[in-house]
Amino acid sequence: MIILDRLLVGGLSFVLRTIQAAVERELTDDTALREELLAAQLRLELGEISEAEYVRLERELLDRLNEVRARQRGEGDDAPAGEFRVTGAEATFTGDEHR
Amino acid sequence: MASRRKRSTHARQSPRAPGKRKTGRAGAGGRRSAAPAPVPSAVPRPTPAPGRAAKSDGRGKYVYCIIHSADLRRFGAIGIGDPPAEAYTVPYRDISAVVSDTPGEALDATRENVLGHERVNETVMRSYTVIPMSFGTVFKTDDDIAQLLRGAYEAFRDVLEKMQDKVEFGLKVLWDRDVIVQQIESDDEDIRRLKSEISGQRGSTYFARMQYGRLIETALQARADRYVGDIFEQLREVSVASRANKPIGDRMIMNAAFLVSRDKEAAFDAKVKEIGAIYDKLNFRYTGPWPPYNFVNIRLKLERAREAE
Repeated sequence: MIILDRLLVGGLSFVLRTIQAAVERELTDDTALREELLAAQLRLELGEISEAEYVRLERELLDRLNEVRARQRGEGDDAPAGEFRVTGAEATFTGDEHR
Repeated sequence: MASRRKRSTHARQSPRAPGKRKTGRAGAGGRRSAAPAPVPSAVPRPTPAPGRAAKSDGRGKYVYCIIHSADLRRFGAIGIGDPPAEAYTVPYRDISAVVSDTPGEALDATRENVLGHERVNETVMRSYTVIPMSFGTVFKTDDDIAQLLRGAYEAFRDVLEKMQDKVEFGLKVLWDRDVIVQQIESDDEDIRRLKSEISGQRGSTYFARMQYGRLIETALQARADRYVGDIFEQLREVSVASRANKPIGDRMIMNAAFLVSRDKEAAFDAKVKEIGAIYDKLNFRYTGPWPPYNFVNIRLKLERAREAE
């Protein structure tokens, strides 16, 4: 059971403008690249790669992430990149609650 | 001994990290490394607002967290940016967002930026219970943020209440496969016998090796499940909630976050150390306290803005 407590489910009607949506990830499929980045961080933390190697890897992975996002943004959508309206928000508690 | 490092990386995967935290390795003698900033699990992507994205004046408001406070407050020049931007509150009724100005350009989830995000949350966390936002959340103006607070006011209040005086700890457990395989061989007579048959056998050992491999895999999985189940069980009574995230890489068997009441922090800490001493073949990476990244889910519903507006 992951979601224990749904404190609010949608239904909001306010509208606001935003650039750079935190949730754009919902629109893109970059899971594998993000996992690679996490793996690189772990290797640095474990001392398996040097700081310099990490920085190089990080740059490479972030560039690829940006490419994926740019490509996905570009597909079938002529809205300006990065500009969104927020039409609702929800905040919930997640996790496995210990009773 | 598991000593905790406050400090550096995280998981949901979430942004974590400032260097001043210590990260602990149980079972090993707390090596200190400049750990990388964890990538937020909810990693938002830093999207540039390109010039043609109209209406953007090239600046935005980066949101770090939501707190229960009605005060106009400044936290100093500790935000994302070079030089670091001033972090301040944008209130709505009795809750506030902690924000800073940010250039309206792409914000990559580099360690530097993630550390900036984390630095602010950590600072704010010393005085308030925080609902951390994912890395990369940027709005256009303070007014937009006030609208966000108004729109989700009840939800933010409920979550803040739920998180009151609670912090998150991360616990990653890794093992050295070869060491565990040796243990399995010494514990399991069938596997040991099969192995010696293989080494003593003439001719093809293909099928025996296949069988050996399968048995080892099964035994490894069973052992990982047992260890992880046991560790979760032991930490249950000293934590409020937990979350099992996907392990990173093939040596990690557990990648968990625990929500802990401030008044149980010492007990949680002691328990982790105790577990680290029991499982001396496992490598524990224990971090915190963090804002409760893994226990709060904030979702914004988005629509692409149209230029016609």
